[in-house]
Amino acid sequence: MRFRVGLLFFLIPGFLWLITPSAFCDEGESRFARADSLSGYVHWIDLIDEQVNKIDPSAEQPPPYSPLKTCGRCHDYNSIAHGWHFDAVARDHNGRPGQPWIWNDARTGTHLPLSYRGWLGTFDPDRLGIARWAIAKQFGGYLPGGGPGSPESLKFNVPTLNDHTQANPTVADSQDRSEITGPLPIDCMLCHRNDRSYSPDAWTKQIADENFAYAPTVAAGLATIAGSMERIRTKPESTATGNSPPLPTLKYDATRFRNDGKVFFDIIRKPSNNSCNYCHTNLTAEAFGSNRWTHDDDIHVRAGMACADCHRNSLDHQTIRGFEGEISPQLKPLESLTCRGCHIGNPSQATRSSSSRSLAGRMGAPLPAHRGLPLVHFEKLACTACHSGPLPEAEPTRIVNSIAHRLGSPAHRSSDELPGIVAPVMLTHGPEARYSPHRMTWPAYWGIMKENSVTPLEPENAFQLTRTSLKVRKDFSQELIEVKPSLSDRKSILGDDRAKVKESDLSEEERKKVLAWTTLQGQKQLKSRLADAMTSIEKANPGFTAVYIAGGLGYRRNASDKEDPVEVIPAEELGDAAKPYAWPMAHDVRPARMSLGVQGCTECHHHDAPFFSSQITAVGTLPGFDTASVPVHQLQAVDIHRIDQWNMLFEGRTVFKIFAFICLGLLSVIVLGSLAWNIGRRVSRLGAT
Amino acid sequence: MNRTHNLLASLPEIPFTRVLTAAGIVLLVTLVLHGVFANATRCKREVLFHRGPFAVLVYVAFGMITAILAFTAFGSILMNGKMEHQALLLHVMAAGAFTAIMVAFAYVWNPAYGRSSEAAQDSTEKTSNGWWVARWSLWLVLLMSLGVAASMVFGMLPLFDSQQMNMAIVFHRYCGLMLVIGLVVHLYAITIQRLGWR
Repeated sequence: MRFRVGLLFFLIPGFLWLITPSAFCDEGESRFARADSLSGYVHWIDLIDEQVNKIDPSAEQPPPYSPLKTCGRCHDYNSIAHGWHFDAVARDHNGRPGQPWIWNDARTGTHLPLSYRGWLGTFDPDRLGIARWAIAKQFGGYLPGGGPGSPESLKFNVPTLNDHTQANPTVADSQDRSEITGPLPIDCMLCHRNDRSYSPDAWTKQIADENFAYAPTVAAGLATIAGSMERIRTKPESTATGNSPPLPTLKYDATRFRNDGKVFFDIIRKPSNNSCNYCHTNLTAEAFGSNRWTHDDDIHVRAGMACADCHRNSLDHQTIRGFEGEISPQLKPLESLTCRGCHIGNPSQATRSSSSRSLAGRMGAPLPAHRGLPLVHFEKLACTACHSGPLPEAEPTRIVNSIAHRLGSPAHRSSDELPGIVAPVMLTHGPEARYSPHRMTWPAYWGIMKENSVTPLEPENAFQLTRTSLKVRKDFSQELIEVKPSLSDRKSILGDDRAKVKESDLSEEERKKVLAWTTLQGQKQLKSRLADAMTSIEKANPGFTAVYIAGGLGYRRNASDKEDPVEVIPAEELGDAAKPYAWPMAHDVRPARMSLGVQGCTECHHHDAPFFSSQITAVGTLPGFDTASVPVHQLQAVDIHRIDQWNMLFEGRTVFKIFAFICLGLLSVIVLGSLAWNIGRRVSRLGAT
Repeated sequence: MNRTHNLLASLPEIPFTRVLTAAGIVLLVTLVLHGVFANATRCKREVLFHRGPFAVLVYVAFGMITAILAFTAFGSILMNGKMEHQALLLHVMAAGAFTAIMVAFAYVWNPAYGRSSEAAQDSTEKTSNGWWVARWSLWLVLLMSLGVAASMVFGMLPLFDSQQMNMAIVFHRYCGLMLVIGLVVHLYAITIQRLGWR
């Protein structure tokens, strides 16, 4: 009996281990077969739908293929689905701050940096009352699926954590259309495509149309689609994975199917740079649009490397981000895939017998000499400070980004598009507080304030509350200042005789008069509408003060001044509500000869050097309004007087070097000469005795 | 050569704070014990050789600058584990002054002058540099000044790569330590001679 109890003691934990996913995470013992050849496996495979039926392209209303059922037959979908690109809502390993999702609503001038990962300066969508499904729709077009739109995530009941959503508990519920659209599937082909006919833009458009389940099929070019789930208001009899009207209808390309019904998927194990770049493009204003040809790629890409050479992952898809101190979920240190680990290595691990030996020089990484560079720079600076991103200037440049500015789809864009992102801003981060270049953005949102605490309004709710007052159809920043003078206005500006003259026939002076009038009236209209919108918000939220945050400042209604009905909220009352969010950047890496400091110490150690003196001006949404502007050393929280003292030392450095050499020469002559003389004297004395 | 390189490479792994503490304790104990012994066995002797006011001024200036350098370097390392912020700035500023004063010090306080050939023949040769400890500690100070200055000046040129720069810093650090020890011993030696304990 005792033996049986003892046996159970071992068997039960063993069984529990077997049924956990971790039992399948080890690729060596996975139930999935592997080809294991470096040549890869040629994928002629059946397309399987959500109901685990093989897709017949000739069927009358064929359903979309399901990546889970198609790819998941041979690949460990469950392990993959919890990788870095899919676990934004997991909150269990967040790493260092990264690029936020910026919720843009041009109708209300809202640009909210969001993240579930708790990065300081971002807003948690759950706390704002934004449904997970809404996040999936907003950002899913630039995600490989899953994440906020995964079945587990959609089950999460978005809590009503702040006072505002408590007053409006239906906000999050009304946004959730997951019962109609189904979850956002993971599309393996978004990253693992080798086929240039795959269209990530089609994926983005299908997500925008709420055709979640159809997106993989359409993006892969396997079928064309007619219809949009966005128009469906009530839950259809079958879900999005079915095929009955009013669901969208698919028409498969029969030529893609072989006689046996199999389809060729041109797949690569290591994603190509094109795949990464769809969501991770960052262009400076200088390299944007027609100036694209002037832009050099990252030096590693120029050298023939792929993003995935460094940002690699195992089957669990926990993609290495590549920063120092990064710990993988398996708690393995990843230092050999950082700049320092690859180029310099860890001398303490340089013994080849050690299992954790240095892997410096892998992939042919050259050893940097850094001749004459004082070692203190390696304590104070990350490699990226000198080698990455645009070179620091008197003012950082604007950045256009895939996700924030929805690149990849044909559109007319300018580098000044909102949300405003600037770079580089040299800030410290990490436990060692090394300087590195950051990208920075400022939040813009409507909120309510009580006792110096600002709570952002859920964006859709903000729109509903302000739409009547703002009267904006598309673009908050443009439309709020649009004023067209009436005939009586023109008479007062130009006089009765010239009031009816066409715009093109006006003289330069008359045009200036009209422009001055429209600018003044535009500002008045802007302030008036802002104040009206704030009144609407305050009516819906009694006891709160309505605020609008933009450009690093906060605004509230000023009831006592009808001429200037909006006032700036003092910084001490506003707290951190308008503070910018910054995240470290690492690309594009410049070659050594274009690194910061290569032209001498005074590139940074000079009173004008942008490293400590560049002026960081917030990008706002309110035309004509001032925005917060500070020198970067205020954000760095350094003692600028000490920096100035350092800079003074470098002003006469060349002269000092010459002086020091002369002194060293004299000292050598005196000391070595007298020492030789002294020794000679002693030797001669010994000889004499 | 290879062994030297290995030895130098292994130096950074010895925590310098321990070396500093050990050196300080050994120096203090040695000087106190010697002072007690010298005081107990003293026989008043006449000090024949006095330095001029310029030499004293140079000595005081050299001593003060070295003290600032030692405090900003060793004090900072002992307190913070590394040199940074104000301490590093002050160290670099003082290093400029040290560069100039070390030449004057080497010229004025050259131990080769302190004991002339005539004095060497004289049985009453006990000048302030007369005791061998004073002479050799002065040689140590001068040689280490050379080492400290050379490692600093060459480090400012684009000659050393990071590994060599690291070795230069270790060299600079240990030269600086030896310089301070030499100067303390020399100060002690001339003091007890002035007191007539030697």
